[in-house]
Amino acid sequence: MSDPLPSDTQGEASGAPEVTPIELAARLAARLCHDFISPTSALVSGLDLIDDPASQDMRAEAMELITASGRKLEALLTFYRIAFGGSAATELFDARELERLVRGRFAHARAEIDWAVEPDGLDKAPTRALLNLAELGAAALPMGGTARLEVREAAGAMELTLRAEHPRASLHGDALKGLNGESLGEGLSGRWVQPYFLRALTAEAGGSLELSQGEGVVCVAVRLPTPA
Amino acid sequence: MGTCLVVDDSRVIRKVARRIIEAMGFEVSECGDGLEALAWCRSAMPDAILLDKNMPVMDGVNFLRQLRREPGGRTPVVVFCTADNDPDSIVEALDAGAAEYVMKPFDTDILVSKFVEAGFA
Repeated sequence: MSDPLPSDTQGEASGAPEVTPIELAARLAARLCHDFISPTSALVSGLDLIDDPASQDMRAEAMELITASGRKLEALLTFYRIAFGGSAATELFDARELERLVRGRFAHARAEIDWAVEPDGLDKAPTRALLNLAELGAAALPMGGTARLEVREAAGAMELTLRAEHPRASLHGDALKGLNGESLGEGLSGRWVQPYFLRALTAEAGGSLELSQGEGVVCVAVRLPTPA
Repeated sequence: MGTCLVVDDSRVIRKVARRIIEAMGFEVSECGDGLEALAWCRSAMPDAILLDKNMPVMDGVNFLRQLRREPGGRTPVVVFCTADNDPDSIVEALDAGAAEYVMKPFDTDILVSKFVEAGFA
């Protein structure tokens, strides 16, 4: 299923996007709806079972389904609101709150998080980049492993790094296309759009993005200029 | 539409899937693991199977490999159900003989579309 794409890429994330803003918005909305529909449908299915007189012996299991689905939905919504949303009330995000959001997101993934974020607070651009790196980590580790998220301030720049480790860690070819700023072609939009969004927001902030993949390791580094 | 066997160790998921698949017009039966499903298929081969991946006793991939060796076992259209999006797991299921896969059988539109793509109009 893996595509014959280059395993390493690097460079300035400033290439002109090949998709229109409306197409990007539509594909991002499709991805979010895709991720929300399963827990939402599960919630409704659980409620249907509670209402079904013939399924009263499954009431406890239905409640478990409702609880688990509601929690997953809440975790996804709060994470995606900051990762993709544009109407956050604040411009500065508390790193502890971001850690809570990321750990909430990973509670519904197989991988573990290794949180190594030094600054106490992050501006909107590095915040979005960090959450999108986390999302990329979850995608790179479908069978588990560790996603290390590291943020540190260097001279005039903020360096954000994802290091995903597992014997089967890898990014799908569609995700690599997105990270490289390539148009999707005939691939799956859901896998492509989030990495593409990460590249686009990095470019908008005047930053650069670097990907390296080796056996059992995926690394993505984002470097953003800090305001003077 | 024909007969469909839902194979999953969660009776809640079986129930949810049953509702959707019955609404499509299938006559639905249920099994809780691969071994039970194999015995069912030997006595009454269904037209379609919605098959969970992770189950006790016999998992979905092993069931599917054994089913394809059974007399008449190549006939059922199998829609594989997996909780993870690991490409290797999906390839493994498709290599074993699944026609389609879904992440979770909760969304009616997606499940119906998978059966349509698998040949049931």
